[in-house]
Amino acid sequence: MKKTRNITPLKKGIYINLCLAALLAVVFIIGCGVGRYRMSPQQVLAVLAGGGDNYGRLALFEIRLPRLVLSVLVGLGMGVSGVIMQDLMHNDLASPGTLGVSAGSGLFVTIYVALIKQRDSNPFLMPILALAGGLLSAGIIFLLGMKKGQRIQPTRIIMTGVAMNSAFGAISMFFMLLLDNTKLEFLQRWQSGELWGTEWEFIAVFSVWLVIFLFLTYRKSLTLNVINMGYDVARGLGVDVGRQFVYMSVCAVALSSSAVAFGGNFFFLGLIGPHIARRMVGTDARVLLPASAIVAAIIVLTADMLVRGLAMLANIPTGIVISVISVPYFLYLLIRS
Amino acid sequence: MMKRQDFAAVKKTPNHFLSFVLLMTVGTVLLIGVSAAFMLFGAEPTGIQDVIRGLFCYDPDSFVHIVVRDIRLPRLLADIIVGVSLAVAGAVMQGNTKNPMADSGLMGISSGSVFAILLMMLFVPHATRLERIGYSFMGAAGATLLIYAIAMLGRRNITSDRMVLAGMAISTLFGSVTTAIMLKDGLSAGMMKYSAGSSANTLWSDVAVAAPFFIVGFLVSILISRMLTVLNLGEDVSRGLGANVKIIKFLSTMVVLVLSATAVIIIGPVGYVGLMVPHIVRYFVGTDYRLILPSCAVIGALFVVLVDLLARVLIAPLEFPIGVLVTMIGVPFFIFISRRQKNDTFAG
Amino acid sequence: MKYRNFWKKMLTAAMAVTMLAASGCASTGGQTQNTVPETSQPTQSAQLEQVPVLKDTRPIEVKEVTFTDLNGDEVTYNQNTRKILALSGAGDLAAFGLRPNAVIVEEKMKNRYADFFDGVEILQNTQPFDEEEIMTYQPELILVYQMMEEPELEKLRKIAPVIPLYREEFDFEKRLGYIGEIFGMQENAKILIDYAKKTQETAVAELQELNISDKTVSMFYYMDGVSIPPTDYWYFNKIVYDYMGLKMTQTTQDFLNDPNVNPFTPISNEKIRDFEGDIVIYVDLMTDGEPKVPEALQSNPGWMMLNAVKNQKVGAIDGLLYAEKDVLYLYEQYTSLMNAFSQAAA
Repeated sequence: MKKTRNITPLKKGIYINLCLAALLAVVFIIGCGVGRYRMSPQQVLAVLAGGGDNYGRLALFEIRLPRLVLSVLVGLGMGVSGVIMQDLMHNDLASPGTLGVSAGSGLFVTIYVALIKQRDSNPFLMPILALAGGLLSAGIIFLLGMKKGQRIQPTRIIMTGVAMNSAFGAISMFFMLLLDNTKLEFLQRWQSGELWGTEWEFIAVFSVWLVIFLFLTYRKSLTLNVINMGYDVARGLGVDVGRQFVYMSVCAVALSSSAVAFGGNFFFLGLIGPHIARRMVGTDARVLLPASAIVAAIIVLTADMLVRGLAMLANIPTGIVISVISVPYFLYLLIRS
Repeated sequence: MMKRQDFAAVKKTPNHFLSFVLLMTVGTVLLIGVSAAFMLFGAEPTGIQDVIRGLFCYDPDSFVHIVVRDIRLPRLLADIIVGVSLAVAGAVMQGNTKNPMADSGLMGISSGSVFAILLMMLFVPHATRLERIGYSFMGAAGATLLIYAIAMLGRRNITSDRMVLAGMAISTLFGSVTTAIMLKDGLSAGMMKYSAGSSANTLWSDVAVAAPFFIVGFLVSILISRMLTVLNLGEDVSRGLGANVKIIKFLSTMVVLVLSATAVIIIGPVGYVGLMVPHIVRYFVGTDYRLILPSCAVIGALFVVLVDLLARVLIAPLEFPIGVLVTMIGVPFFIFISRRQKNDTFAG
Repeated sequence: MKYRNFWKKMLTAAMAVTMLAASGCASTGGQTQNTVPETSQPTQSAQLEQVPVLKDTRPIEVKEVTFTDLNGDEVTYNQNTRKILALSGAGDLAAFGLRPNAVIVEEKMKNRYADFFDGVEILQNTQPFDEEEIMTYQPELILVYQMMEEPELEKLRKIAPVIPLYREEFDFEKRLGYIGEIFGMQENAKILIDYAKKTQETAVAELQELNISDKTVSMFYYMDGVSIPPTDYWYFNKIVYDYMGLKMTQTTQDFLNDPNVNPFTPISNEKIRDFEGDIVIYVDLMTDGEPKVPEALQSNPGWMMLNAVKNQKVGAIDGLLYAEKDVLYLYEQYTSLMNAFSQAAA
């Protein structure tokens, strides 16, 4: 405390956020140079400056940039959504993955691929269904996790989420047993987290959606702080906890489901991002929200860079790299806490 | 506060003992009934006479006799072994991790075994059955050690939600690597079937391999049941009562390892049995492990045999994956129990 | 390793024999290599011929052409390009004498047909592709499969002209003729089409000798449960039931036709017997050499009750060999089926 007498935690948080943003920019720029198609930094710069050859422009603008932007967007969505869920539940293990929201999207996508998908299906059908699945499963989980006339019990909701997670998993498994290898592989990839929506049109829709909900969330960051102090405290301070809880939950689910829908299923991302960020900037949502978003984005970018850059990891979904990196960290957190 | 309540429960109150006898009787009768149905019904139509003859005056040239004796009977025994193993392992695990949500499937033990099987399919595709069992066992052992390491290394007692999430994390870790290798080497279809779980192809030889482990594991669990009850009073109390906490913890961990690995080997990854059965049993017989474990054995066997009977006749002549079926039953139950838990921490 | 050598020997030996036979009709036949024929293998397949070894006869200079592909799209490209990338039809193209820069092919198949894939690389990203990986080859023409979705095609068109090949097409005349048109290699196409036709006819004739033409055949595979490989996915089904005219058992037919039944689900061990035909072939999908019935299945009581198993008359084939219907693999596909048949019918 003494150290921060001159600088308030908030200010410090802002500085750290700026540093993180700078780091994100650096990683992003490095990401421009990584890929199977080899380009020297000079070539990359030349293309960015508007020159370069055909292939260079293609690689950069049609392949790498969409993927990088998508990575960042997915990170933003998951990071913010994780913070909201953890603050709302007063539990640092809450996240879109552990709460089963992502699994709901997964089930809908599985059913879509197994039963509906045709060669000429509308490309937007899948993200829309994934979104619907996420919202629906969030609804189910909250309904089952709450008891009538009782207060919100976060642990119960988390446990319900875990259970629904495996239920959705089992139903998905049943459908997946029906599939031929091509569809099966597509689903396995999607389930384990592959950045697939790398079309500019997807990204445009996704980013508009994201910006709206990020704005709606950030506006309420002070309310989030108050709720994080305890439901009773919040009530004492005149916050309508029930209403805010629902409002924030909808925002969180909308953010994470859209990230899952366009980017794929990144199980631990929404959990790890907030944790790392909290260690850096503390619990003030005003600085925690952006920090968590940026950290998550950096994680996705880095993991994806590994996948694209290392021949050894070719053909492996990005989400798997994230899981393999983040599970040990997660277990460490469990042991330490 | 809790401790005093538990302590009172240790004395076999007549009430609990009565329910125990009742539960065991009803359970055994039902188990016999369902087993009879299991032998009687299946894809191939068989009469009561066929079953009796197949069992007692076996004719190696009669197809029906082979169905009865070499297909259904080993499968029935396998289901019983699996049911008993999972339920007892679940109960012991809940006891020695002090965690009401512990279960070998949820804790990721089976994912370790699936992972090991995948590595085997990759490097020694034509491994013999015995080798396969060995690999599966090693995978399960690895995952179990990991789980217990996390449970033990925790600074304070890990709460049940954390334990469940740790299991989930371990499942995800093994699952991710499994998927990665599958995608690299195109083993998808075969592995999918293995991950769904089934006892359909159990042979007498599998039962023979599993039986010794199963019997030893089960007997040890019964032997330590008294000490487990004491242990559950809290380590201080049990030390006061003269129990060697370390030995009990070690033995019970080995029991969990052996029993859950046995189950995984036979049937593949099946969750929730080890969660559901002990909870149901505790509801009737209280907290004394001398009563819990035998009841778990009977009810667990009953449950798995019943579900597998369903799996066989539901879409005959095809096999419904039993793992999917158990999960569909287990999830509502899981939600029910988690709703019953009283406070945020679930501490047992 | 042992088997790889075996196949190599088989291949070179058989190739030498074929080239002598085919050099008359193949105007563009390659230079005969000096290999000592040391075949000691079953005379069963003596009449079936290895695929003719053809050369890429196209001139080097650039020749821009416009071609209407199977989707009706017009594609303009250099017909004589050597910088080809194939996401489909690797075996057909190799038989034409074409050597694309990179293709999608099983590592195992590439090694078996090493001469045909000389200098051809395998694409690592196959679901469905990584544009950057494709760009590293700087292709001038990309060949893809018929069912590729439009957005995917669009991505590839930005790199180079894209032509979809017939992948679902069984008719060699149509499929190979189409490739011939793409590259202006109609002569090679004709040779290959004739070869395919002849192979098929020879196999059917040989089948007559085995005296099993009116028999029912059942194919099984095992993946933690016995099941029947569904028709659409495996080329051996087409060969056995369509070209050779052998029959399925009624039970199998009902099973495969039932829309509620998913053919990948294992059949109850109590019921395998109902699916047994006069001839039983085991499809080994996990083979690391010679196809065989796995130990797990051999001890399965349901399987042991099959008459064919009791009489030790189960033929086995390597399922992966039939994942593609490319002309390059025809010889091996038919030979191993004939071997399996003669084993099963003995």
